[in-house]
Amino acid sequence: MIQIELDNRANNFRPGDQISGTVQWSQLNKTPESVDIRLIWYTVGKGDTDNEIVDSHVLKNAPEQGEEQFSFTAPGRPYSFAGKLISLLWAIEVVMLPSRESERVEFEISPGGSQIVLTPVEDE
Amino acid sequence: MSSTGFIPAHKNPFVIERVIALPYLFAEGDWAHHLDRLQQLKFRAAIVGQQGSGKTTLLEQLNQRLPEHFNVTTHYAFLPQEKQPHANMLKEAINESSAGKIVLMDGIERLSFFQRQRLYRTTKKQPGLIINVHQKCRLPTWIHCQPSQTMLAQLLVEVGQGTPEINAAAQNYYKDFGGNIRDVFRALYDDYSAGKFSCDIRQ
Repeated sequence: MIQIELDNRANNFRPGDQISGTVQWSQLNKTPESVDIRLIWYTVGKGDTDNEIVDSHVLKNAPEQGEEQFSFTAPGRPYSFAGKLISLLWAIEVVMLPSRESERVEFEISPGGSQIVLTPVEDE
Repeated sequence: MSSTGFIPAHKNPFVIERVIALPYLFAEGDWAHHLDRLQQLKFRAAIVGQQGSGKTTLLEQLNQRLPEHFNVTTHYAFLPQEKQPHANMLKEAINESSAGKIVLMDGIERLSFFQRQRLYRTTKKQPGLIINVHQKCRLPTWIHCQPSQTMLAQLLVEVGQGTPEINAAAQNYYKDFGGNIRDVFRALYDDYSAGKFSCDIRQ
């Protein structure tokens, strides 16, 4: 089991904000050799996906169960957005290596703190 | 500007990520049975099937299970349409094979004849090579992906959209697209986004 908890249960950030929290793990299928905590963005929708690991914090020689804190700075781009064909989401993703057991918690990054909604424009 | 019933992409149940994450449904047998057979083939085999039949899904899920089941390491390579990276990706796959990894390669048919022959030759005495192809090849067939309307109905249940209305639309698309399940889900994505189904998840 992998749990990710963001400080103050935050799920909206502005560029430059600190994204911090704690990862806890236990009862995994396999004892990890390392725990990779990543700040990522990825696209979701119709067609091929795109993604990037923007920052990461790796804990080597990880115990069978434990916890680790993390802190990243929210980048200036890309902003979170939601469209009909594609959405862009930000997340903290934790990957246990080599088993690749993983967990993810999503949040939004934008100047206004919430995702930009790309609504369809009606023809006049 | 107006927004009537707008469904954002990440809330569409037919988004590609959900489809890819669906467990591969074997026509018969389970993972344990098929992994044992793969071991009998000495991890040197092909997954055969038409476009959209689930080959990529199966190979990706195999990449997760092989290390867990057999305590081996794998190298997964997805060859893109554009040819530029192919030479480097081939070289990397051969190096990883020499380092003791089972190579799983999706898109091998995008390599040239000579590149494929080089891959077959150089990995012959290594831990393994598992590839996706549209037709039978020189490697023995491990799984022949054959989609069916029954499988499609099961997949709809897996994504939580097994209503009679959606199932009927899906089966029509299945016939239109010649059994290409990937294209069926893409069409369902568009229909759902356009609000054509009576179930409403607008939030």
